[in-house]
Amino acid sequence: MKYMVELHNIKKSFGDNHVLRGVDLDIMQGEVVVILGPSGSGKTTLLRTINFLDPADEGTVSVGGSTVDSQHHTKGQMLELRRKTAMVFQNYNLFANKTILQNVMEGLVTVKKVPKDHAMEISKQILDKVGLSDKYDFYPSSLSGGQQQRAGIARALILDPDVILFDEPTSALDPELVGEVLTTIKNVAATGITMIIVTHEIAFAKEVASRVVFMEGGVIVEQGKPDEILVHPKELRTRQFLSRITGEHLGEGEEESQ
Amino acid sequence: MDFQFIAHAFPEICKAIPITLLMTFASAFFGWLLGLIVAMVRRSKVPVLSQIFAVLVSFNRSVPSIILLYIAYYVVPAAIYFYAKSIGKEIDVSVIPAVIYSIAALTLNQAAYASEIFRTSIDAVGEGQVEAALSVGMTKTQAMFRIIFPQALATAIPNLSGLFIGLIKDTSLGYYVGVYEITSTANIISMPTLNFIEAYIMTTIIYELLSFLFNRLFGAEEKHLTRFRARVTA
Repeated sequence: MKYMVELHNIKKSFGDNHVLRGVDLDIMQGEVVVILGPSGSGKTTLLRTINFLDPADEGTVSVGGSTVDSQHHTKGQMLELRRKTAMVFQNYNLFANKTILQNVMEGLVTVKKVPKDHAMEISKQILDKVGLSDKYDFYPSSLSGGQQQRAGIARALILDPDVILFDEPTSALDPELVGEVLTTIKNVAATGITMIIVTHEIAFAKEVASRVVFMEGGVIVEQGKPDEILVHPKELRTRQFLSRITGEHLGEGEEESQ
Repeated sequence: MDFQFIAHAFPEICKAIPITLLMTFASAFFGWLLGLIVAMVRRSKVPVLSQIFAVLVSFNRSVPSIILLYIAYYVVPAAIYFYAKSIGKEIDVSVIPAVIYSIAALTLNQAAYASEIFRTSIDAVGEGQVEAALSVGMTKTQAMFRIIFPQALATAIPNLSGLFIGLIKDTSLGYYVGVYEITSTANIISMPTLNFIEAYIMTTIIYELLSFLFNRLFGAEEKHLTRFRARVTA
């Protein structure tokens, strides 16, 4: 079986704080993996070790057949890995000095050396798909959070990455803007691209995920199909987390046992 | 008011404007370039070099420009002379024109101040901007030149504008080492007839006009560089 993403024994500490305590995760092409967990569980850090924004202290990361050791790697290997991935950030992080169109084009032109005319053409197509056809020449500062995040998704999509990493893509949004972004992500998921999503949107996870991973204390506590994890979780910690986050009982009575 | 003197002296003083501008542009160009290098070294915390630069910047900023100029003018040539002599060569340091020393001193001074401006304005660009650039596969250098510097420059430009205007005025220090820039020309030309008041009024007007002009230029540039902060664009 060929995996698109393979994480092996990922460990990471910030000082005395052991954020990741040896995480293994294999993801097949086209899988949509949603990572859930309380804050401080290491889920965002795990995501950031994949594209080496926070290189792990130990372990190996493979994306699309390129395997990179967290400790011993060259700049070239790191760059190669980053070029096989794309990321959507919690705070959008659109390039503030560039228009929406330029934001999307930037990776194509600067990194992939696509001719400008062609880059502009396909960038516009992607922006049209995320519903920003009337915002090409706007700077990020003049857009709503939802619009900025959809542009962020377009910027990631255009690179045609092996995997897109979503780091709490709706956490910074006003509640009424969450829907438009989630819809956009769902549309992206439907195209069959491999995605890893860190989120707190349980309902969304249930709908979009092909697999849900529950993390706590720097390890994966359990993982499985959305129904298994979200409706019939085996682990106490998972159930506690879910009941905290939804404020209701899940799994029809099972949560009382243990 | 001696209008006859003014009519005769004004064109003469104006002839010194190019020297003042040469000193200004040269010091700003080399000083800001050096300042950027110092800022980058200090930001990336290159060991030893980073600390040395920190001390030099602090030293530079704590010493009056005129002292720096005297050091450049009196100490540096002597040092070159004695060094050359020690390796058995005879160098005539007097052929180096005074304007070079002035530019050297002003350059170091500009570098010290500009490095602080660049350092703080680069720091002011959010870490998220770098991360986004790296996440699309850019190298650090690409991220710097395409994303970070343009935003940092927008933050830096009002301070750079002030630094530049100050520099125009600082070129008058060239007077003390015999550079015939605006101030010294005005002084020299007014000595025989003691028309100092007229000379200083003319000098004031010229500096005012130069400052006004460059203020405007920087203002226009600031507007251009900060356009991304505007709410709506065309």
